[in-house]
Amino acid sequence: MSSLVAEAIQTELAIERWPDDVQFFQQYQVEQITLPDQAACLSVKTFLHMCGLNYREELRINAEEMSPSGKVPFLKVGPFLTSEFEPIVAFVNQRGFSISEQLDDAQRSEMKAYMAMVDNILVHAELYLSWVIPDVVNEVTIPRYGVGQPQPLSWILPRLKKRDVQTRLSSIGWSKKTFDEVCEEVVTCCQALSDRLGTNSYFFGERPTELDALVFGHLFTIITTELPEMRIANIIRKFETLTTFCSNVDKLYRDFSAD
Amino acid sequence: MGTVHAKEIEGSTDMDNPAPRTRGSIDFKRPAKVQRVLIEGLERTKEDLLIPKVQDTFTAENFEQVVKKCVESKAQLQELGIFKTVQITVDTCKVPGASETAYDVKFLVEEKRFEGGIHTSAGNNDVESSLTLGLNNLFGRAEKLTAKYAHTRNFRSKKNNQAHIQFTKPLNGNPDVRLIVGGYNTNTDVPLSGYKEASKGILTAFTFPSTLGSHIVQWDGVWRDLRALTRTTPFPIREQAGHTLKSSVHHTLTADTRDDKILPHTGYLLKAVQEYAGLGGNVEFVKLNSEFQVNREILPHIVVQLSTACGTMWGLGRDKRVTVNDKFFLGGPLSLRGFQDRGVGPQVEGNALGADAYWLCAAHVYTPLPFKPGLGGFGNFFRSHAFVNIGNVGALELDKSVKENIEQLSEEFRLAYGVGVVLKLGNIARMELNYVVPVRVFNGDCVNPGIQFGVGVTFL
Repeated sequence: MSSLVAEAIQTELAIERWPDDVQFFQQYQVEQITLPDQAACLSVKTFLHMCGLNYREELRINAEEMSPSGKVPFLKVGPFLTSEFEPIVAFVNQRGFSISEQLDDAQRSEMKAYMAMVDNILVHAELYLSWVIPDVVNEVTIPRYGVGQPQPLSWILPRLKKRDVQTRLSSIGWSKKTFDEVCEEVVTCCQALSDRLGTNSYFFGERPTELDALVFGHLFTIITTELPEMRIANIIRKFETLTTFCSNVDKLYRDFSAD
Repeated sequence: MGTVHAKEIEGSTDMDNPAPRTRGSIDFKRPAKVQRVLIEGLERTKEDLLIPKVQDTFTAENFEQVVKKCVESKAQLQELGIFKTVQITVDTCKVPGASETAYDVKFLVEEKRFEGGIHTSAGNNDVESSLTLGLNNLFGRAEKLTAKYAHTRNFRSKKNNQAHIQFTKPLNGNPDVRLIVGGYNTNTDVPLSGYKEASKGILTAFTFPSTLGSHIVQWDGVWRDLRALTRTTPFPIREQAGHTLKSSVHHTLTADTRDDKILPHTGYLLKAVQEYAGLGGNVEFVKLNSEFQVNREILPHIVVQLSTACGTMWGLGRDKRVTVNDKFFLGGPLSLRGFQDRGVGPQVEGNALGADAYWLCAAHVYTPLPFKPGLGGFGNFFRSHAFVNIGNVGALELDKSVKENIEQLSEEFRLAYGVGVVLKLGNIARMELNYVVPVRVFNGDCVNPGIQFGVGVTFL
């Protein structure tokens, strides 16, 4: 109930559509952030950029704990906080900015379906890769997640997070999957995306939509992150349509994704 | 002949002036020597703990001294806190060939193995239920293991609970010199500052007496997870969310000469705490806090109490930042009356941010209730009082002169006065119902003029 009221107030107060002091919060990109979070952050940044909206990036070691939903990234627009991709897209739309308004209803539901597929397959594959594959967990994810924390927190916190992620994966039946099966899922997902993209520059014609931002954020992060296990990255690289798509979007928005 | 039973008297106040019941007539000045000391009823307690406590009885030279030394020994035995009862029997020595002046002293003790209880108490707008379990005399040398779980229900917060476990060992059998190790896990919602905190910690403490008072030196290692309480928690609080590891040592000096902890007539209390955080971990600060209270009975039953408290802290380390859960707060029905809890000082949207320094002074005049009902009986639990209290928050900045700092802290002080009734609850807490008139208040203060009610264990 209180969140409904908050939303109502949010709508009421939306006088200034996009103030100058919008802040974008995430963890430290070079030393700290883990692959799934980095992908989520890149998606949101790409989306904001596609909308032509300005923001200031704030790197905080406690970004995850600060976030109202416990997940990065989150935006601070005036007094309002919104976290994660879909709520941020909804928030931006509510402020009167949209990059998918040219779509008809059928296309819009198709877009939603593809976004759900990315969330269900790519995001879970990233979590699996980062938090289940032992080499990646021990050599990359755990040291990065615990960076900046004193002993013994740098030991405890990543392990608690690992437990959370594994609970999440087992609740959808992914923890029993082998890595081969995960790779197969990724192949299916990439095939579907590649088929939809075809020879277009973007998924729905000549203009980007939020689906493009989401797909770019995840694929680009996976193929550009050096990990002890590169099988998923190699799968994606085999889909030429997707790598071309990634490099196109990257070229257009290089000024932010290269930093 | 000559049997003295010093039965345990309720409380321990009469220990120093024993009034043993006597049977027949005894010449207390007759020479007497303690031949043997027996302690009966021991199951777990080790001898080496008890021998120094009763050894003194052998130095007695006449019967009066025998009785005196026995009672002293009994008091020492009871201070260990491991006996339910201690009874003394003095009899002539039954060993064949013993002289007529030889006596046997027998201590009949009953060991206390377990203690525990379930308590429910109502505090300021909340109800606490607690379960305590204690294992006494664990290894026979007055060690004690206690565990406590408490759960608080509050009309504002859903979940407040705490669990503590603690092991105490007196060193050399001295109950004032103790080594304490323990651990705790607490979950606390602090709606007045808009955060919730989950802490897990371990502690080691050492207590010892000196001519100044009693000392505690304690190390705490605690992992704290601070989170914004609600979605609408203001950003300055939310910004501080996250995990911190605090490793701190603090020293507490307590000198207390008061005749009662809650409603004293005479005596003073001095409490000074110095804390340094930063032995490892990522919380670094120095914190000083002190409290002084003096009581004087100026006319029969009329007590004047003057108290003052002040504290300051400095953040150290790279960002010199102290998070909200370590800060000072001022205001409330038992500290700065006339203001709400945490009602004075910096705040955002009604959430107190806390301050780096504060000071507070209070003057009370306590009198019995009008017409002195129940004086000497239940009336002793009540007082009426008139008070004035004054205080402020701020920050002490090291790069400024003392004078500037004092000027800064004395500007914008808050002042309130009032009258009310004080009720003593047990010997640990007090309840106040006051009518308060705030005189000096500032913008942003949460003022509570008129009737104010409070319950608590700490007060000024």
